[in-house]
Amino acid sequence: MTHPIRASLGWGPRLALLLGLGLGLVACDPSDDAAAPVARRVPDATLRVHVVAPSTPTDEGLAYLRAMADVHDRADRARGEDRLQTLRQGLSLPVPAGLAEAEVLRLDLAARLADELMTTPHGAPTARELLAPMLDVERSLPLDRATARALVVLGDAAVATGDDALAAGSYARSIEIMSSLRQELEP
Amino acid sequence: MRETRREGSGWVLASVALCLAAWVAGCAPTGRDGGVVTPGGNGNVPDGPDPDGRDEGDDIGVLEARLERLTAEQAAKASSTEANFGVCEDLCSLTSSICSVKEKLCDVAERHPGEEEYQGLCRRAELECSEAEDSCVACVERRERAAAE
Repeated sequence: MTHPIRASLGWGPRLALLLGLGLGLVACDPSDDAAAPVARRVPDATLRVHVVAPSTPTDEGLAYLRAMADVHDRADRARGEDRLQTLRQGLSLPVPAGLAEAEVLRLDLAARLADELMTTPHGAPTARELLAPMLDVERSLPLDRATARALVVLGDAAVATGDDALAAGSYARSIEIMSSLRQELEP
Repeated sequence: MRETRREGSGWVLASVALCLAAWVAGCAPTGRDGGVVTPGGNGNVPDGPDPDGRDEGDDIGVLEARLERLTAEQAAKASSTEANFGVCEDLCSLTSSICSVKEKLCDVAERHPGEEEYQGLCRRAELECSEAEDSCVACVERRERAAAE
C-alpha cells in the first residue's frame, strides 16, 4: 500500500524536499557555526637540538664575526630607532658558507632585536613575527644559551600578544635547553 | 720582629743554597765513609730519612725531578680550582636562569588551572629548577672543600 502523501508527490517536489533537507543539514553543521568554540590550543614543547661544531676558520668567517661584534658595539652606543636599525642591519648581513657558528650569532642578535622591540609600543607582535619562524618546533635548534635566551624573548612576546600556548611552550623549551647545558657541565 | 725573621730565613736559604752549590761542585763535607751528610749534621750520622720520616733522596737529579713534579702538581691543583670556579659560575648562572624562566612559565600556567598541559609543564619546570639548585650548591661545596685541602 502506498502512503497517501508520497502518492501525492511527484519527482520534482521530492527532489526539492531532499535538497532542502540536505541544505538544512549543512547549515546546521556545528563546525561552520561562528558561535562554536574554537579548538583549544595547547602548548607545544617539542624540542629538536643539535650541537654546533666549530667550523674551519676562513677569512670570510672571521670578517663576519668581526662585523657581528661591531653591530653589537654600535648598538650599545645607539638609542631608540637607531639601535633597532643597527640590529636589523646585523641580521641582514650575508652569512658565509660553512660558518656553523653564524646560526648562534644570528639567534643572539635576533633575541636582542626582539627584546628591544618589546620595549617599543606595539613591538611585541613584531618581536614574535621575527622570532617565531627562527624557533619553530619543526626546526632543529643549536644547543646554546643564545637559543634559550631567544626562546624566553619569544615567550615574553607571546605573553604580550595573549598567546599563552606559545608562551608556555617557548618557556618550557628554553628550560630544557638550559637543563641540557647544565647537565653537560656536571662533573 | 717580622724583619728579623725574614732576615733569618734569608740566611738559612742562603746557607742551603751555598751548601747545595758546594755539593754540586764536589766540595761538600763528607762523613768518614765518604757519604754525603745532611747539612747541619755532625758528619757521623748515616744518610736516612728526613725529619718527617720520608727519604728525600741524595741525588740532585732526583731532587730536581721531585721539585719539578711538586711544582707541576701545585700548578695543576691551582688550575683545577680555577676551572672548578668557572664551572660553578656557569652552573649557578644557568640555575638562576632556569628558575627565573620557571617563574614565568608557572605564571602562565596559573591562568589555566584546569589544563593539564600547562600544569605538567609547570611541574616539570619546578623539578628542573630544584635539581639545578642542588647542582649549584653541590658544586660550590666541592669547590670549597678542594680549596681547603
